[in-house]
Amino acid sequence: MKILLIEDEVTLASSIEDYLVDEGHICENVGTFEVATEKIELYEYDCLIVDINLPDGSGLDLIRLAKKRKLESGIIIISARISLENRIEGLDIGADHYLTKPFHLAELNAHLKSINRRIHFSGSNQINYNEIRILPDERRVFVNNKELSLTRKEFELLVFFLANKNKVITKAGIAEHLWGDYMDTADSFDFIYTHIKNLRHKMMKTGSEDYIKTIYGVGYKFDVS
Amino acid sequence: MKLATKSSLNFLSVALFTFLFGIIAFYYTLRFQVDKFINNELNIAKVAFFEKSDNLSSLEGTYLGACQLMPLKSVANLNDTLVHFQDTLILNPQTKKLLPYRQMTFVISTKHSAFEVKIIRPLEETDRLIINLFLFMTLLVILLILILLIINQYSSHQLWKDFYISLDKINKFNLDTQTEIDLPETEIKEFEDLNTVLCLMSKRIASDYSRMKEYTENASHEIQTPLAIINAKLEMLLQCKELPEKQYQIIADASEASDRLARLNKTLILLTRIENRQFPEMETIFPQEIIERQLENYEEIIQSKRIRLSTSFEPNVSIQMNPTLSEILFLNLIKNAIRHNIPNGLLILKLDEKGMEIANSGDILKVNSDLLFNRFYKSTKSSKSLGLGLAIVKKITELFQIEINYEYKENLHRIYLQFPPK
Repeated sequence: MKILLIEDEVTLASSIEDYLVDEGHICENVGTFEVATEKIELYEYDCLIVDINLPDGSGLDLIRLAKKRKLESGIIIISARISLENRIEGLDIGADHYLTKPFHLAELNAHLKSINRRIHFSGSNQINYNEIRILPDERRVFVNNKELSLTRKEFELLVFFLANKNKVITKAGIAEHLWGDYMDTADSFDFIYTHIKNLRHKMMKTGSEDYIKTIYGVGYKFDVS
Repeated sequence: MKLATKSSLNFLSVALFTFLFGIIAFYYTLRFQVDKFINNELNIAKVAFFEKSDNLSSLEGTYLGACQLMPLKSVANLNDTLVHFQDTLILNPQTKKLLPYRQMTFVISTKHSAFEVKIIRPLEETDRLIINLFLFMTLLVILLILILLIINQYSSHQLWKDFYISLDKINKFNLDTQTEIDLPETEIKEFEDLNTVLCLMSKRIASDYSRMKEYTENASHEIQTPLAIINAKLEMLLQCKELPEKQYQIIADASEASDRLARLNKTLILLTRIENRQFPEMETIFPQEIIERQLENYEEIIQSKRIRLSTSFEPNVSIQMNPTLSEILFLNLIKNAIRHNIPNGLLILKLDEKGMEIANSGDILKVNSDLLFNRFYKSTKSSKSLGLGLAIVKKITELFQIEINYEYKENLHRIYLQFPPK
């Protein structure tokens, strides 16, 4: 995917860029409203990642501009502002997701993947990896064409892992993805362990490889190497 | 004791003291004056007696004005020429009653004998007059004191009215909703001064308070970006291949701490925003929908803790609330009831028109339950929870006039929400 990252914090932008490039995306990074306006007007991107508070303007105006150009691109807002009005306004004018800083890169990546599916495979929304096939809209998972019966959280977990293949995902990152901001991580670590154990068990029973590796004390990794 | 009562009591004690002395002094002065007058009359009678003294025997028992001459008594001592006055009681032969008289005694001498002359003057009328006057004066003074007391009470009530209005306004002053105390104008300079000082003070407090809130919110928001950088860098670091396990552990610990800080910060921002009333939208909320959705979200956790869930919902219960805050309210309550539950414990949810009850099994609180809704209150020190969940619940309930109560009964922690009447 071709992504335009509009973020004025250089160090944060570089981390995001590295993560996304590693995922195989082409990522351009701009730090000002002015340059971003120019880029949006001249080029086409699959996805815009927009920080709302830019030194010389509001990211919301950039979203309006992109929408005016009738760009098909997905839009993810990243903002330090937690306020609901910002979130509502952002989603109202056509953003797909709103992430409040600090966020996990894995979470951002998962959102990018879902935008990618929406843009490029509209109609036949599927996630395929080797023997695994997922129909996200219908919440169905097949391994070797045999359907798995997964709980909601197990399903979400698998989609999250497939979006972040070969990446170490922290337990906190998983907890936040599954239960949102307000779940205290300490409580949820045991539950993550249980969910992952069950998911692995169900997948391997239907003949899938054992992809999910435990990184002791840190988190988990969907290992495809 | 009220100021008016206190000043009335002071007045009353002084007044009674003065009244007591005054009335005694009045009585004796009156008595003295009357005696003087009577003595005078007796003296006049004495003069009249001497004018007619050539025929002494015919004078016996006769009246000299209001005075009466008593029978003459011969005495031996001629030298006693002094005139004596005294009060005495004399039996009235007709009514057989002792009546008060003032009596004048003196001695006259003829050529060969001396007589003691007694002239008496009845005091019955004058005594009655004195008593009547005395009673009248007493009544008058008591009446005067009473009237003064009443006037004092009434006027101090009137005078202090402005003060009590101010007091009431100060009492109801709420920093979250008001920027200054609106005090009424008053004619009394002292109160006017007080009101001016209070107004200035309230303005200063309100502006300090709002500056502080603004600062808190800005600071919290500014913290978000560096936190995002730390998190992103740590996450990138974790992706490095061939990292020794020891370093993984270090990164993981740092990452966990920064996650915790991020959550804490987000929660504090939320609290500040609730306090700053930045959730103005109101909607009709159906708590049952929210509760069921959240229970579903925690379904697996409830199952794995083997918590026995029991719910009873009265259909179509609704409440006017901000939609975001209602989510957070029920989420925090449910999360709290799950987190502090014990394996095989109970989780009971009851919802009706009047309110909601959420109860969960668990050991009795070791610390004072009044602190339960305070910020950073934790039942156990080791708990990794932030200790802000119930503080948020409390803030939200305050905002929407929902009454919240806690009770530990039958091994259950019970939290009651009482919805405001519609």
